[in-house]
Amino acid sequence: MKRSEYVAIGAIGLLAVATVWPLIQTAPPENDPALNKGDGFQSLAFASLAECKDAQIVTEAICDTEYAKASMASVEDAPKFEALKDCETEYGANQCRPATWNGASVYIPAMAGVLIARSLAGAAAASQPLYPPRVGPQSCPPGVSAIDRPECQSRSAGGGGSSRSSYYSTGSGRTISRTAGAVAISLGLPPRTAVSRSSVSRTGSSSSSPGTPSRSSSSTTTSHSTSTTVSRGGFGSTSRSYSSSGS
Amino acid sequence: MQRIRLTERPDWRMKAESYGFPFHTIGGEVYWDESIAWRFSLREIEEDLEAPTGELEQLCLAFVAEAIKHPAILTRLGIPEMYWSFVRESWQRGDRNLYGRFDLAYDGKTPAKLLEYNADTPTSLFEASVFQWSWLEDQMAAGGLPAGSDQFNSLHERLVKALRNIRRGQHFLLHLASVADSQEDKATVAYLADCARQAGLETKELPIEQIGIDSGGQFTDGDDVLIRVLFKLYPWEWLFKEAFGRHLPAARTQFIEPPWKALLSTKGLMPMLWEMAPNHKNLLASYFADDPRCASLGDRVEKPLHSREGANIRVIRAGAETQSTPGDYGGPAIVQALAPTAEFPGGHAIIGSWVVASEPAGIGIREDAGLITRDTARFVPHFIEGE
Repeated sequence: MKRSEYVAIGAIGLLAVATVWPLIQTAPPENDPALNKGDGFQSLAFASLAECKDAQIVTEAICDTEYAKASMASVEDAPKFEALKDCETEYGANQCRPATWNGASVYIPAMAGVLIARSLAGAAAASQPLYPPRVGPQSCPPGVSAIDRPECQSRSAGGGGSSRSSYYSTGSGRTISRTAGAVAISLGLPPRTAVSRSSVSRTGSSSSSPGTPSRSSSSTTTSHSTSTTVSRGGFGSTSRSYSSSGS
Repeated sequence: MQRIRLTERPDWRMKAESYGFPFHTIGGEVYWDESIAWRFSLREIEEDLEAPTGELEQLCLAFVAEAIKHPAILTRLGIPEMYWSFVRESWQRGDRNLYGRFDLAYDGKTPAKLLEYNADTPTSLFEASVFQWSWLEDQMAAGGLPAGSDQFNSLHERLVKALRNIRRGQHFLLHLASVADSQEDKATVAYLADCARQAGLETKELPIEQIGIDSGGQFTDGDDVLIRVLFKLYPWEWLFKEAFGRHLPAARTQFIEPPWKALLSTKGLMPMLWEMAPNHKNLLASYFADDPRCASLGDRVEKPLHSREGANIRVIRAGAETQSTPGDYGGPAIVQALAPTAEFPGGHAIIGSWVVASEPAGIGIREDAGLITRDTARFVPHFIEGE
């Protein structure tokens, strides 16, 4: 991928996490338990490390590595919320956990599984964390068809360890469904609200309390040395002759 | 490389404003234009733009290492002698740089050619880094572009990382200064301040006019706080000649961009690079205007060493001036061979190829009616087609 994995700005918080999963985007949306064909990759969803190993589809070593990679990636990847209740509104009760991101305390949905893509040609594999399905009001606006938005039917399904039909979401808000007994996945549409719901607008900017989301303005100058200014205005005169100092 | 028409997002103006990008329309004219997009193949991006950008940056760094040793070069580039040690020491100390933008002529057929390097105060950053990025995500989500499309644009990620590394991971207060009455400059600075906060730094924005000096010759802000690290969206060549310029060498401020960037943010760089690497596939033949070799150039462009936003530029074809722009910039000039740019009915496009901490970081495209890209140019998004 040649673009940023996420973009956040103070004005509105996290814009979005890039849809980093080209394998998902190109896989056919069908519940074929054998394979998602067509691009030389097989995409597999597992609810836990143990389930990955038990399934014996990829080697235990791949399960270990990819699960670890997904866990490590999950703080960066997951939508972030300043308050626990906002996260739970989106993902359901007891589905969120605290985390530290760039020095700020945030809440993120707890990892509910891992999506592993393995190359059918060789040993190459990639993974990304999966989260509980989004149950928040934004996910299921009134009148939206459950065919388009499978998560609307799955409020109680959770992403947990069940081997029956279950739903997950990705960091970018895409829905992943996994059908009974099978590990193949099908793909829901991305949410209509492509801009993330995250409410984290700022990330750790205060030296005195790293780990606390800052709500104050950016000019916390308490700990900085001051001096006595004897003269001002010695810079800026040239700009008055021109329209811009940028280029 | 292909220019295509695309349906605009119905809500893009509202989005732009909520993102803090109010100058999407300037003087009633559209500046951000998403009715058009440029499509690239991954090969074009990686081989024709990304790799040459990395190579050009290395060439520039090699030039700085050489230039600081030669008074003749420093003189030719117009660096006042009182700042020679200041510039030299910033390089020898390894002062880190943040970003820069190479303007490239590229038509998809022949190698990209460097027109100039905006190494010191580049703008059009937010639209390239953020708004272009979210445009692609929105287009893919809405089905306007195929899922699996990509974009050469890791600007945001790299800026956050580079800002964190400016003081080798230490926490610090970053002051960011720009001209008080320029909204566009202020927006660039606000975005960089935002990136800095995401990197865990404290930030404070201020008008450059507000900077003060204390009795010990140290720079202060409007609240008398000492300025230790200063991002200045204000050209070195202006700082050098203004009243407080004489305090620069003794101040213990770390500057972003560092003083050694003064050697690169001049069109005088073009003939210098050509001399260092003659016939490099990504360089255009260039000479200082007083060099007799200018006569050998054929169709050519004349530019003052320090003009901005396409001011005071003359295009000469078949011995006659075919286009020129007004402006207030004079002084020494260079002459550069005319490069083939991407053409479309009614205009030309040039590629702004970004580096962050000297690594290639993405592109932004600007289109303008004539051969000269001015402040009237429109910013047009791009994407890379899926494999």
